[in-house]
Amino acid sequence: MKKKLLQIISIAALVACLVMAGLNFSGKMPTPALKLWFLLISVVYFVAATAYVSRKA
Amino acid sequence: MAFSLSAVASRMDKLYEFDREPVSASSLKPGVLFASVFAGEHVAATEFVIGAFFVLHGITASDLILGLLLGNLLAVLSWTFICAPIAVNTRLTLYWYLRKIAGPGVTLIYNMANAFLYCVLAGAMISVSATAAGLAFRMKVPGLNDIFPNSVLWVVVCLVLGALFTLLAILGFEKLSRFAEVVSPWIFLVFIAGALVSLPKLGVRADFGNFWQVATTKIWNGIAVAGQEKLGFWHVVFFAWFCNLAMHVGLSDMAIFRYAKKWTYGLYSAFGMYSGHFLAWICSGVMVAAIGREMHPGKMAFEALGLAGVLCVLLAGWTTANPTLYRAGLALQTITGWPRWKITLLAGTVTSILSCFPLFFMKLLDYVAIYGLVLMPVGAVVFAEHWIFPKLGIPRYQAEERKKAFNWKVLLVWAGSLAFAFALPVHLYFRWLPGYIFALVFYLLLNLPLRNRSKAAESPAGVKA
Repeated sequence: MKKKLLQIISIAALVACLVMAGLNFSGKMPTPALKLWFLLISVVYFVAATAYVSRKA
Repeated sequence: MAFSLSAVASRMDKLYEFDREPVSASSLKPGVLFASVFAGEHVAATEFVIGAFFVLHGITASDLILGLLLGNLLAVLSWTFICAPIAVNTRLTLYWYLRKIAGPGVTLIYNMANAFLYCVLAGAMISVSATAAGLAFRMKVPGLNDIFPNSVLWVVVCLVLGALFTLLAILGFEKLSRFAEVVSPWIFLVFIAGALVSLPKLGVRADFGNFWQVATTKIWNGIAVAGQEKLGFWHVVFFAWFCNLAMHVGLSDMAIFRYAKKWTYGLYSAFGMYSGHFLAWICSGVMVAAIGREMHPGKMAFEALGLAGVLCVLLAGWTTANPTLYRAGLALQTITGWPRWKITLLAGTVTSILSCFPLFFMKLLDYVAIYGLVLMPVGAVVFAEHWIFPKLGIPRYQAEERKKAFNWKVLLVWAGSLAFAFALPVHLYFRWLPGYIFALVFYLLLNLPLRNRSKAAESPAGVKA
């Protein structure tokens, strides 16, 4: 269950980053905010994905 | 000499002992694994540089897209029709199969050549990461035509990063390679996101209505920057094709496909080619255009996505250099017999020094061409021996049968093919194909006198245990 949750969080983080890039492209998200949130959500991705891969192993 | 070669050969064999036996049927893997392996391996730091160089070399948008579609298709077909069938047939790595054909001495030379080429490539990746790390110090990146370092700061940054990468490779390649699995999908995302956010800076509208007009006038506008050679459609085709020449035509990826249930799994290489060598190259082209065509991967990513972009370039360089350093260390370990940490330290030191010279980074396209060219003749020899020898009645595995350390014919073909290829009066990118055909024909001619001699015919599909 926890492994599944970590997988979902990882995928959701990647999707969120892509969505934010799309919002910035269409002018709906300012660039400074994009850069900040992209970094923060990337950190979430790394933590979740690393934990998932460790559990999988 | 015979004693030392014997000791070295014995160490090489021990190193690869795990892979000595053909893969059993119970160890075969499902197709999705090959898709993920290829997707992960072919989106790396090199993509930041190669895609950007296509812009700097004045390739037009249509030449780029059509060239990459065709060139990557040829690469996929090479994995599918050349590498995968031999791997599935033999269930061996190139190391063990080449040993049967060419002897442990030639295999040693192959390993050494590969180790050196790996070190240079890892050095170029350290340079790429240095462009990101150097942003913190407002470091000026060397110019496109620089051979030597342009500043003390550049040297310091490269050496520090090289030392860090080497230390990580010594401390735990296996654990860290697991982290690389995590990093790969994110790096791919950064390419896509980085390009997306760079497009408005180039004037692309939100409805994408003028994308093609911007692409043909501001990104791939057909104008090469000063000092860079103008390239065209066929350069793109051949580059995309030979980018991984050592892996497909050179048969290095027998190590992967020996686990495939059938040879058609070679088609899974498309997951790597079209994500990395198509999409990522296009994305890095967009990013370099957005910063005014400056060859500066760190700046490309930073301008697009800030610190996340910088982190991406650092990690991309590291995840490419880490296994490369490891493999170079493994190959060199057999010569010296030193413990792995010591030889990795030596390889890492050499690599770090090489990284200080921007030549390898700035001439990456040419280096990739040379890399494939050097190792390609070995692939031709193995192909000829595996498929053509049985049809002509030429006995196979002469080195193994006669217990020879060196199959001199293989060495002659290797050296002769390289001499032929380098002498050809054509562009570097186009030399490997005639060189390959030359190697095939030359090897067959050298062995024709052995036709129908003594041995009972082997089954053309099988490999003797």
